Order: sequence, then structure tokens, then C-alpha cells
Amino acid sequence: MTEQTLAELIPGDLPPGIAALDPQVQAELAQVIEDARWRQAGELRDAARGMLDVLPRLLRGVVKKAAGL
Amino acid sequence: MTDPRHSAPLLKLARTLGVPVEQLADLAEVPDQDLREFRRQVTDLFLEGQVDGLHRVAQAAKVIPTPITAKMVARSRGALLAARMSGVLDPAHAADVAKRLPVDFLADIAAQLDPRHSAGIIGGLPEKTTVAIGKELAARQDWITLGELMASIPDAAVRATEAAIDGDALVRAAFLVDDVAQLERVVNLTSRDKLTEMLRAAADLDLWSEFRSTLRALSDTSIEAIRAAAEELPAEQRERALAEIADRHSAS
Repeated sequence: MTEQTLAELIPGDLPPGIAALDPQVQAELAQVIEDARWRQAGELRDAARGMLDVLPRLLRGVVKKAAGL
Repeated sequence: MTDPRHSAPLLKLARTLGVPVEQLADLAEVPDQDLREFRRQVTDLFLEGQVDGLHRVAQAAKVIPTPITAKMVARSRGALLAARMSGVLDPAHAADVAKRLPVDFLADIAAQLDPRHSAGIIGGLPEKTTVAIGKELAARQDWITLGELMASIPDAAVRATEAAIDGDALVRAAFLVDDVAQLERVVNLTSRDKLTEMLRAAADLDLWSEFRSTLRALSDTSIEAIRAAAEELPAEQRERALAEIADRHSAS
């Protein structure tokens, strides 16, 4: 994965106080954000699988169709 | 240098990023307004990458009977997914699912809600459930979420929740409410006895740093209500409270 700068990562212009941070601090912040994004994606994926596991078999077909899967 | 633990917007950004606030110490001098905007941008970035999947989940939820959706959500214990789902489901449907979930899990979900969209779901819950969530958040000392809860619930639920929560919890939660109009509303709905209890807690537990931040944000009308509540305190605490009110715009 190519590392993105904080300004590339964040949608829109960085607030002035953030844009003025030392480049090293910005790089560390970008990494913290990327880590959190990956962590959340994994958490959401696991929870969605967990939900499907308890979905009654009877409903699986109709649910998959509704979800476009 | 500002202690990051005393910066409400930094505490909230740390929560959004899932890191201890000390890890963001280099941002301690960034103006509060910039930190709030940056937190919104980070939240949008997270949501942007999740929206397609969430819309598929929302489409699926439409064909599942609500009691089964609630059972699936409760069994998965995925508070983040439930919070994100509440943002893409029709608010009435989301509230209908939420009503069927246990209070401790609703408190987990509340902690993951995007405060910009939480009023729709939280506002649709029965008052007794909102009070129970507030008590659970206070017991967990989750002041950020308690503040966001108080700021997003209807007036009657604010009154019922503040009555059920200790003064020190309200001081700590009020400190973390970003929206000044909502902070003003909550303070105006708080009884004089509870305001006195909050002042007493600030004195007993040395929460003046947090309380000062609330005092600075409030209008003169709300300050008058707090001044009146301070009159109920014993002499020593009253003097300190009145001094804090008078000096609220001085540098801390």
C-alpha cells in the first residue's frame, strides 16, 4: 500500500491548525487514522458475518437478493 | 503546554481514532475549532469507505422482520456495525430495532454513534430507556457519550436523565458537549437543586477546570440560573463558586 500524506488522506482542506503541524507529526497522525480505518473495517466485517450466522436459513435467499449479493 | 487530558475536542478525537489521548499530545496546541473540524473530516473518511456495504446491510434489513433484525444485532454484539446501520436505516425502523436491545448494548452503540446523526435514533427511544442508557454511561464513566446523549435527547428526557444522574457526572459530561446551543438547552432544563449538586461536586472533587469551560460557553441568562443555584451552597463553597462565575472569562 502506498502511504498517503495527511492532506491526501483527508477529504477537503485540512484545518489551518492541523496543516501547520510538523510534517513528522502529520505523518504519524495519518498512520493512526489508517490504522483506525483498517481496525473499523475488520470490526464491521466480523460483525456482519456474525449477524448472518444467526439469520434464519429460511430468510437467507431473500436477504442476499435484497443486499445484491 | 496544554494537558491533552483537559482538552474536550482532543479527548473526542482520541475516541474517534481509538487511541489514548496522550498519543495526540502533539496536537494539544491546535485550536479547538480546528480539532472539531478535523474530527468531522476523519469521521467522514471512515464513513466514506463503509457506505456501500452499509447500504447493502440496510437493504437487507428492510426484508427482515424487526424482531429478527434486533435478535441478529444483539447476538452479534457488533456495536460499531449497529451504530453505522442506524445511520443508514430509516430512523423509525432504527428506533424500533433499538427498543428491543438490552441497555448495556445500547450504551455500547451510543458510544459509536456519529453525534450528527444520533438524534434520530436516540430521540425515538422511550424516555425510560434513555434514562437507563444515561445511568449506564455514568456508571461506565463514559463522559463523552453521556454528553452527546444529553445533547441529542428531547427536553423531557433531559429532565428525567439529569434527575437520575449525580452532579459530578453532569459536570464531566457538560464539559464534553461541543454544541453550545445544546449545552445551553441542557443547563436550562436542569433543576436548581441539580445545578447546586453540580457546583458542590465541582468543589468537592475539584472539577473547576471542567466547570469553568461550561461557564465560559453559557449565556448570561444561564449564568444567572447557576449563580442562583450557588446561593444554596455552604459559605466556603459558595464563595468559590461565585468567584469562578465572576472570573469565567479570565485565563485559567
